[in-house]
Amino acid sequence: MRKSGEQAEVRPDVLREMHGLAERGADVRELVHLVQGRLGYGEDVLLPVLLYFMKAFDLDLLEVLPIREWLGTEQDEDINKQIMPLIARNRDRWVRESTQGNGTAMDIGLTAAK
Amino acid sequence: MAKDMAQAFSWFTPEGKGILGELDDDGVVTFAIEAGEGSSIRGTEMFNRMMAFFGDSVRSIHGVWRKGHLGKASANIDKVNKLTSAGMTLEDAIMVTWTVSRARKLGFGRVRLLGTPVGSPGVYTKIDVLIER
Repeated sequence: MRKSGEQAEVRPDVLREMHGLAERGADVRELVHLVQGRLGYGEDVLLPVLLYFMKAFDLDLLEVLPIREWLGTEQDEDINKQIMPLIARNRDRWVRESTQGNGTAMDIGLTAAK
Repeated sequence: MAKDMAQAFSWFTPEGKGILGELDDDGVVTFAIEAGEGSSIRGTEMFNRMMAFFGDSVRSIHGVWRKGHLGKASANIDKVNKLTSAGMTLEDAIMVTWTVSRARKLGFGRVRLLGTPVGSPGVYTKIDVLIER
């Protein structure tokens, strides 16, 4: 568990939705839109998106920073190649955290995904 | 410090601007900041608050400067490009960028390039620097 001292709060329900989307094969664009939409931000808002990717998928800031350069472009193939393997790499961890936390296997779509 | 003890700092304004930083196992801070136009809080205040939060654990700051696909404004790399296009060396230009200027005020005065920058004077697109005490 990371130690965090932030002022920005992270909504567990949004993290669970991100897990569910990822389990169903969503790409980076869909995940970004989910965060922006749930938090009421426009499509150009970046920093909360980065934070939610870090929290949802246990990624480092350096790993999610490429989203900064991608946002607002159509270079989806490039960003998916960079980010999706990282999400898959940590899948066991975030699935475990999601099921042990506030969600259930059903909540995050495990039963329907595979 | 183990990897799972990494510290994060985030401070966002209602409009979604702000700062997001992370201190890794080796005391290296990486951060992303969006201030300026449309932000209700100055970038310098965000940066200083982040550095105060991490405190004495910080050994260096990793500047990850990129020019996006759409050429969006990036304070550090835009400054480097402006100065190097006018004849200044890359090393000298880096010393007067936004991040290095603020880091120096906090005692981080040694700056070195990490890896090889991408681009050429006036049109750099990728620069990594390490700013140390």
